Amino acid sequence: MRFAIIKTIFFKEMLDTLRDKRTLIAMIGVPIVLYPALFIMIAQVALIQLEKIEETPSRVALLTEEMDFLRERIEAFPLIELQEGEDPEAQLLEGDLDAIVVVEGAIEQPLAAGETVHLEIRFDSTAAASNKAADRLVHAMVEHGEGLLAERLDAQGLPESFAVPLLIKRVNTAPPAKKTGSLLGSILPLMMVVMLGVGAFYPAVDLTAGEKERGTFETLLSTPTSKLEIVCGKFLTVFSLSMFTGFLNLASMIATLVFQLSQMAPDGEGPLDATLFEIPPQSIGAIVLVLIPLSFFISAIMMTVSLLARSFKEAQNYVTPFFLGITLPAGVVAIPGIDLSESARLIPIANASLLFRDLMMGTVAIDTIFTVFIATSIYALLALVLASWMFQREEVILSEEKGIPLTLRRASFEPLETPTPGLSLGLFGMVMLLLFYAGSYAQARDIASGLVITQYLLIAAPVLFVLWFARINLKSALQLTRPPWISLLGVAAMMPAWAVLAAQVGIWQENLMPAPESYLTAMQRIFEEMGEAQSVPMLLFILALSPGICEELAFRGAILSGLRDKLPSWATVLVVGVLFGLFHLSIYRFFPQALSGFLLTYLALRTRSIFPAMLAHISLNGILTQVERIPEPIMETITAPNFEQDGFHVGAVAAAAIMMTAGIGIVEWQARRHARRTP
Amino acid sequence: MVRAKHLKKTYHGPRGKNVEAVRDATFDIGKGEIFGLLGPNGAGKTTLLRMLGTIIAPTSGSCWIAGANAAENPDAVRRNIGFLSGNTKLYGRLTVREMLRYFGRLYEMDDTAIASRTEELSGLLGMEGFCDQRCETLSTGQTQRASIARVILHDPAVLILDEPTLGLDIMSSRTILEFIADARARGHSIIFSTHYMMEAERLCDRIGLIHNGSILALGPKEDLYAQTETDNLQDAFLALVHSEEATA
Repeated sequence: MRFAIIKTIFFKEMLDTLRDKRTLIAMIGVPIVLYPALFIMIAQVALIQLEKIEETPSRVALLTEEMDFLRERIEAFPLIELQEGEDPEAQLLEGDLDAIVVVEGAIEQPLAAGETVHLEIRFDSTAAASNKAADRLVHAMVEHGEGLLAERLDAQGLPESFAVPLLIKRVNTAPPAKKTGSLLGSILPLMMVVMLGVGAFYPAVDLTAGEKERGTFETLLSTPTSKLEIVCGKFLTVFSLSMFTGFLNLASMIATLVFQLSQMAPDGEGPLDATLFEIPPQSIGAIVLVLIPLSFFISAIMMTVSLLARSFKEAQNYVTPFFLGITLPAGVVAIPGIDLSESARLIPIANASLLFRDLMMGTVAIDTIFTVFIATSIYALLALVLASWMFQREEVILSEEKGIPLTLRRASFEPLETPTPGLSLGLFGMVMLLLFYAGSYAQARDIASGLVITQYLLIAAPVLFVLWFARINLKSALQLTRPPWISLLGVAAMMPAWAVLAAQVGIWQENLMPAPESYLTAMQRIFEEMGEAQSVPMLLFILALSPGICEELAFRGAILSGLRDKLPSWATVLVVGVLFGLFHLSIYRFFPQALSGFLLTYLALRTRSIFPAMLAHISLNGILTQVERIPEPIMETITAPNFEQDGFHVGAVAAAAIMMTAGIGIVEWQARRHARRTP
Repeated sequence: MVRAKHLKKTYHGPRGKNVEAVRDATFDIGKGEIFGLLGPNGAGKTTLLRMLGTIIAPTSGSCWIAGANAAENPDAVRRNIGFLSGNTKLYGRLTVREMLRYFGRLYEMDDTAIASRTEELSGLLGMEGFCDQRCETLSTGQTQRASIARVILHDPAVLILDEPTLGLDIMSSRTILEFIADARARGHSIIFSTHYMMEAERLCDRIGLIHNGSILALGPKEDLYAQTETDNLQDAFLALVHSEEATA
């Protein structure tokens, strides 16, 4: 991968795309000219209509035996024009009348006797003028009724409060920003997703199927550029244009909408002030943060889908259903009562769209943002891996035959020593997805069996299966080689020390960013329940041995071996460690787990074997599950008086650091000795 | 310069049927030699040239260009070839100059070298008049000259030309054929495919006759005539196909 080449391809594709009139119109013309024009025009017409109705008097007919008495009372109110009708009912339906007031029986006499007179206002709800007339009449009659009530009370010598034992007032305490937020929150998230899609649509189709159709793909493939570089350059173009158009559309929509809201007055609330549309800056930050992987995801999927087509038109046919498909989950925000629940956080697109809604109303916990971000990033990664995998296949790129050209048969794969980086990341994504969906479900049913199922059936087995299916040499991919015995000694020296340091980091993290109480108690309950229900060997099997084997096979085996040769050692340690941290699905466990991930990756990398990392993982988890059994006097010597706050004694931390250094020293010494011996 | 050894390409056809597009192609091309690949449509010419050009990977066998193995070091191979086929069109929305700059950068040439080479080729191929026009506005002949400029921009040792005269009028064809003869004079090795027997007869130092994915015969045209007891390529080709079918 040469960045200069990717840059060259990126700039050329940008230039090429921006010179295409179709793309320009869809990307820039529509948002800047069409939306505002359309919206404002509709709004203006509606406004003029509204004003006209406000100013026109309502034509009302009366149906009563005491015509004069009623007329006298109604005529007093403005904008009501009484008419004589031959057949008022028919006239109302035809729109020649706006409303009819019907009173059956006498009026004057029952009123004088203190009785109730029933008044019926007939109107046509489908006609705006008729609705207005009904409103005016109700308003007038209620006012008149209040006058009559006051007279009656006066006659009885009673105070006005007599008829009002309770006076009720509704007060909406939602701050104006939240009111606006909730209104926009039900529209904007859907619009954001749609706009990202609109932005990605044309470039995705043009740069893949369009290029195939124009017959320039082969020209590009005959140059000394790798397919990965080409896919990166093209993908960056689609992604940038998607982001650019997305934001342009969004800005145009918001501007139009705010203008709109300031013109129209929703019932009884007064016009919504444009300045009230204030999303807290940290929410905007979070929205942008999630928009990036979201746009990444949509761009990569659209590119993958378009790659299957041979022409621009065919690609449009493929991508359009997908485009409609993404608006569906994004549209859930408009349904009242749908919350960003734990499982909803993992549903692609719907999670981002719900998150945006909640962020606009300013009510989101940081771990929710984190989960949505990670989930979306993983989908994005998977989609990009899929796109580049697709791009590597010559029958897709040069497709001249009809239909979807996929050769997924095992026989058509080249046998490999280690996985490709794309496959490694794909495996990571797969494990994460299985963990999200199946793992959390299994663990919620029964924590002990759920954990074992997760380790063996959702982590180890799928990874081994994919490696086998892709014809990758298991021994070298998983580093199943005999480790230098001396490095095992180093690991043995390190692990108690690492347990102390990891716990210490956990306490620092807890001080810096406290986990919510509910999270801590839930975790504690799980471990207590398990501790009570399971015997010690069983507990060690579930929490130490199984993760030590299965997680290591995935992370220090398949994932590490795919990245090892493509990245410098330090970057490999960093990437695998971070992936390992993310794998624990919680921001509160991220840092300690990532640190452990760095160490385990380092061990596997330096000893060229998976077993030291397995041993380390098993012993670390083993120590942590058996903390309770460490004799009291030992714990008292090494911990600070306030363990929850300060963790371990400075001396204990220092001693642990020295032991760690010694352990690493042994591993490092062995690795260098080995390097000297093998030229 | 070019060496192909037992090249074979099998496509997975529908319903598990495999199609052998190229069966077992073995040949060498020397420096400054024009090698013609002659055969009817669907004979496997394009597939064979695509394998040499690293556009597709062979099912088995291997090939080398200027000493580099196509499977092991495709980038080195691509640096040493200029590849032209009916499917290597130009970017319509770029001007000729922009297009050449783009490809130059992909070959990791620096910008001053690209600019001076563009001037040089523009003079050589008579492109001064349309260098700053977009490729989509060019006539067929102009497009062909721009394509040649693209192919020899990085001065490759080997030119792989797949049916370069297909669908061209007489004038444009002549431009191409002159260019091929010229390139040989400057020491390039050229492999080109065609189904026009005349072109092959006139230009090629050696000719490979290909049919149904197999190279039936290979050598200077005189040898082919002698081998088949004919006096032109068309008859030679038909005689070879005939004897092939008789033995099959």
